[in-house]
Amino acid sequence: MDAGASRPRSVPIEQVVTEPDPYAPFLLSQAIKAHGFVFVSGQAAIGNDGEIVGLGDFDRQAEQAFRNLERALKAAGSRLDRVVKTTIFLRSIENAGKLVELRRKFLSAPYPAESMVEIPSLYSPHALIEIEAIALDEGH
Amino acid sequence: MSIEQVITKPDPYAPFLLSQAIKANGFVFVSGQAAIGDDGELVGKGDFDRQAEQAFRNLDRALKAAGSGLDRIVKVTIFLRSMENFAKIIELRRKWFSAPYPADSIIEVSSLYSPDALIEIEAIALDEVR
Repeated sequence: MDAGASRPRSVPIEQVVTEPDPYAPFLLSQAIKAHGFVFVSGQAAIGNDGEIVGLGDFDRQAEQAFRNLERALKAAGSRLDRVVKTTIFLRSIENAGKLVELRRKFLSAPYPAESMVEIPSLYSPHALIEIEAIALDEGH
Repeated sequence: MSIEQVITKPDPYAPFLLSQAIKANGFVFVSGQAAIGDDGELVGKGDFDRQAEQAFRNLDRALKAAGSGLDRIVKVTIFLRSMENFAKIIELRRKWFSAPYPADSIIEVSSLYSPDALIEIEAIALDEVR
């Protein structure tokens, strides 16, 4: 596949690559490191085979989404406890209450700043949650 | 570089395990601010104008608690329940922000944290040290 044009080397950004990387065919990065931050693409409940894990099961999808977020951050040399901001996209705001326990399980105090919204569809009509994040990278 | 929590009084977000804002690496990342009053309840149910005023006031409060301010915002995301209120946002930007105006994305969502919430604003600002 034609990967398209490359940015000049003088642009001070670094791509974060996960194995596998289900986003690469769509020409977006799992995450980008720049100026001390890691900007992580929205992480849904995509399994290693590229398919959604937990069809119709919010709890399984949420676990997988946080695991994928953790994987992207680790690939960047960062961690969940270095996240400063998240945006949580839900297909149904009725699951908002479950996020409290998920934050407690996967994140830690001081907890990230966050916005959480309900939207009519994610990348797939089967995806029930997606989480994007901004974190500090390891050198800062 | 450390992560510093920004605390407002009152802080209606604390029980839900999120911060009002986080300071890191020269920036302040402010959680989405809706029209929540000091009692934790939504202000202006069914009234977009009142909710918008309260949301901007809450954004101002969070930024001030961080030692930043509305005039140090670099990027906002405005979440609306109805894009029919878009025109009102222009006047709100004029009232609350100043030139050079922040980078801004505005989108319509099918629900905010409460089905009664009509607007929420998140922001990234410069902190006071830079």
